[in-house]
Formats: sequence, C-alpha cells, structure tokens
Amino acid sequence: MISVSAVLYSTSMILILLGLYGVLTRKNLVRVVISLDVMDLGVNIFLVTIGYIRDGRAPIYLSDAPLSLVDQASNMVDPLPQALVLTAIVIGFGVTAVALTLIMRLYERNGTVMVSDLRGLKW
Amino acid sequence: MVSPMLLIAMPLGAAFLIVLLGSKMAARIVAIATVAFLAVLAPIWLSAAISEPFVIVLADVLPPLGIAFGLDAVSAGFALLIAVSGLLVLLYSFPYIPHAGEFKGKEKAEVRYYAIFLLLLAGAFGLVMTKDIFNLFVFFEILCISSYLLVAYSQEERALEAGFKYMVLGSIGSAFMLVAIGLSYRLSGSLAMADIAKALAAAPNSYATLVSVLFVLGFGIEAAVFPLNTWLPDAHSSAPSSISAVLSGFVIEVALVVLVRLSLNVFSGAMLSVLAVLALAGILVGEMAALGQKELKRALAFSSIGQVSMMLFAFTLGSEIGKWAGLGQLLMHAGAKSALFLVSGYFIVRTGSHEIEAYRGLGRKMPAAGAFFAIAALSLVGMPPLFGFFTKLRIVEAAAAAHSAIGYAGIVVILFATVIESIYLFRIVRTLYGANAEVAASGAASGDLPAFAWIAVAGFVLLVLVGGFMIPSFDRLLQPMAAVLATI
Repeated sequence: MISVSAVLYSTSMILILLGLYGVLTRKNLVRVVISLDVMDLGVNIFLVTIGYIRDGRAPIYLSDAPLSLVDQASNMVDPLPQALVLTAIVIGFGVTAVALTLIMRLYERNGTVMVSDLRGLKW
Repeated sequence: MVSPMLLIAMPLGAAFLIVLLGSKMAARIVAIATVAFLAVLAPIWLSAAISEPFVIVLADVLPPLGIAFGLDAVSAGFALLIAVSGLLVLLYSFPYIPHAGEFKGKEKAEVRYYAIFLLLLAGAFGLVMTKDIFNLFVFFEILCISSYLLVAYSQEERALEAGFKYMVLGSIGSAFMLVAIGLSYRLSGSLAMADIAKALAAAPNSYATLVSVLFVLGFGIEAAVFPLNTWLPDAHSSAPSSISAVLSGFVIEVALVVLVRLSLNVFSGAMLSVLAVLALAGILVGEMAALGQKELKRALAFSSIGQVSMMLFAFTLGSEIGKWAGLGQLLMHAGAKSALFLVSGYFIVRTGSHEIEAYRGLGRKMPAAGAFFAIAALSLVGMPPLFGFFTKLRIVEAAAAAHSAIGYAGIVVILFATVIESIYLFRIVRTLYGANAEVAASGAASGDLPAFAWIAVAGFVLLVLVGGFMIPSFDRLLQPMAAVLATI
C-alpha cells in the first residue's frame, strides 16, 4: 500500500516541476507569477510532509488526558515544519504582492503584460 | 557592551519609523543617524569578536531550542563593511535620488526608498550573523525583496523589467533553497548549522550532494555564480546608481561568503571543485561580455560577475591564504566598484544617456568625477601601487601555492581576464578624457559632483588609494576572518 507521505512527496515534486515549467515557458507575466505560486505550493507541501506522522496528534500536552506524558509525546507531530511553512507562506505572499505591483506598473506604461512586447531589455 | 543584535533591530525599527514619520527630511535624518551609529559601533564589535566570538541568546532560550545567532570575526568584518558602505551610499543618495526617475508621488517614493534601504541593510546584517539555516532563508528573503523593489525604484520600463526578471529568478532560487532546508531538517532534526553539518557528515554521500546542489542552485542565483547570474547585468545596470553600488559592493559578496562558508563547513566541501570550475568560467564570461558593452553600467555589471567569480575561485582553493586573498579582493572590489557605479550615476544625470560614447570629454567638465573614476578603474585592473594590484597578486600567489591543475588554470584565466579588463576600462577612461567639441558645446553637463556625493565617492576611492599601503593593518583583520571562514 502506498503511504500518505509518499503520495504527498510525489505531489509536491510534481507541483514544483510544473511550476518551474510554467515559469520558464509562459509569455504572460501574470501566468509567470501564478506558476511561481504553484512552485511555492509544492515546496510548502514538501515541508509539511516532513513533519507528517501516521496517526499523529497535535503537539500539545494535556494534563487531563488518559495517557501519560511519555505516551502523549510518542507520536506527536513535529510542529517545527509547520512553523516554517507559515513563514514561507507569508514570504510567498509578499513576493506575489511585489510581483503583481511590478506587473501593474508595467501595464500602466506599456498596456501589455506579454513578455514578447517588452523591449526595455534583452530577455 | 551593547548587544550586536542592534545591527538587525535598529535598521528594522528605523525603517518602520521612517514610514510612520512620512517626511523626506525626517527619513534622511533617521536613516543616516541609524547607519552612522552602527558604523561607529561596528569596529568595536569587530575587535571584540576577533578575540572572542559573541554568542547571542534571543529571548533567554538557550541552544539547541533557541534560535542560533552569533557575531564572529567574519560576520563582524562584514557588518563593518556593510555599515560603512551603507553610510557612504546614503550620503550619496541625498543629492542623487531626486534625479532617479520621473513619476507621480515622487516625494513619498523617496521616503520609501530610505525605508527599504534600511530593510536591505537589516537583511544583509542578519544574513552574516545567523547560525540557523531557516533564519538564513528569512534574512535572504528580506535582502532579496528589498533589492527587487530598489532595482525597480525609478519605474522606468527597463527598471521594472529588470526588477521583475530578478524577482522571478530569485523566487526560483529561494524555492530550491527551501527544499534544501527541508531535506537538511529531515535528516538532522535541527535547523542549527552545526547540527546539520554533523548529520550530513554521517549521511550517505549522495544525500549531502543532493542537498548542497539544491542549496548552491538556490543561493548561487543571488551570489551571481556562473551560470545563474543572467539577472545581474540587467538589474545592476537598470537600478538607481546608488543601489547598483550597494548590490555590486556588498550584496553579492555577502551572499557569496555565506555560500562559501556553508559549502566548506556544512556541506563538507561537496561542491567545492564544481564551484572552482564555475568560478573560472564566470571570470571568462563576465570579462568577455563586459568588453562588448556599449552602456557603462552594463559593462561595470559584467565586470562585477568577473570579479565575484575571482573571489569565489580564491575561496575554493581551500587553503587559508586563498581565503585571505579572496577577502582582500572582496574589500578592494567593494571600494572600487562602488566608486565606479556612484560616479557613473552622475555621468548619467549630467548627460541623460547610458552610453559610454555620450561621455566623451566628460572627464574635463567634471574633473573630480573623472579622476575618481580613473583611480577606481585602475585599481580594478590591478595597477600598482593601488590596492587592486596587491589583492590580485595575492590571489595569483594563492593559486600557485595550491600546486593543482585548477590552480594553474586559474592563474592563466586571471591574467587573461586582467588583460581584457584593462582593454575595456582603459577605453572608457580614454573616452572620458577624449576631445569632443559636441559635449563641450552642448552644455548638457553642468557642474561636478555635489558635495555629499563627492564625500561618498571620495570615501570609497580613499580605500583603493591607500589600501595598498595599509595591507599590514588590513591583514590583522583579514587573517582572523580567513581562519574563521573555515569554521561555522
């Protein structure tokens, strides 16, 4: 039987590769940004999967739980990757916001969001 | 003694304060006061850190649970370089930034310029101080996002495009980096660099190689390692010149040193031989591309690729003298290239053109700017008795001392690159002093550098001018830094 984490790992890799493909091939700048977000999503799923434990519980000790503290600790989910993902999501949000602002300014100047119509630099 | 955490906390706090105050004058005063304060404290921290590295405990949580921070000789040395460069570039920005770009809401944009500039400094300070691989990512992103915004500051079409291109590549890089961080965490169960180094040393070789390849792919984009540096010529040439100076002067170098330090100590040198070959390719490609450029700032940006690759080559030699030589070159490049970019900013303001050909005869109309440019350019080529001669000589010595094929190949490449450098830099200097009735008559160029810009450029030029004679005192700083570079 395929384990949950194997499915998640492969999903994340597929998303990263799809996103990378999109960034490299799309001509529309908005689509480039969407592809970047798909890639970020893949990375975030990868990070969350690292902390995944089968039948894991939330990493909170309960004093009135039927289990002893040691038993409670035995299959707690690692909270650290989740904290990392929260940070990564916030950073990804910031980057997307900046990217869309740049696209907006480019659109105001040129009336286009297509890479092929931009002439300022050699791409 | 004051805690070195101020290096991160003060620019971060000042950046938000500036936005709240919202006036241009207040922004200038707060920014310069903050950076000047840090530039005064940095030498004290450096001398203290050389004898005994600081271990910083945040919020009273001790390692391994707390977030690892530290100020050792390398980070303190870089903190000093960043603070002093930042101070001079801020001084230059006062007269220069009003000339950068014409767009609506200019006044408010200037306030934001100083705020983002301080954020960039906070990111750079954090990047050299952190001992925790995830914090490394966070500070890296602070540094990158603020540089995307500053590159696009003028809102001209080419600046927006360059900023966007830089951002796309930077984001791909940070995605790779996050995967590498995830893999390291999965193996070691810790984010502290020291723990990851131990776990990777015990792990199968292929695992360490995979992590370090992903990491080099991610970090190499910012550190301008060939062939991940395609964004650099566009970003550095389209940014406001003050920002080009900062990006070429210390941002790529900070990224490079962090990359080298991690490759040496955390990834157990898995990528070093690959990096050495990439560095040699980078020197050749950077300098050859610079030779063909018509725009001054583009040529300087390509020359930065060559110079940074030269430092990377020295670092990858593996010997202490190699690291020492690399750090010396880094210091020289920070002075020379910052001065070149800052001066070229006023060439562009006075003539309204990016092309080298438009500056014909400008050296006579702007005598101070022309002289500064010529001195910095000569030092970059390696003309004795300027600083650049000694630093380049030391790299060649270190390469010869390595007694390896790559070392000898490096000597050939560096000497060849020097010839190319002298061709295009001398050509630019000759154009500056060439006779041209047209520029002289048009009157487009009026006036030399303004006072603040003059002081800033003179500060950088002073470094390359006297650096050669101050080698013994620099070495007292660079040698401990080179020794610490081989540890985490």
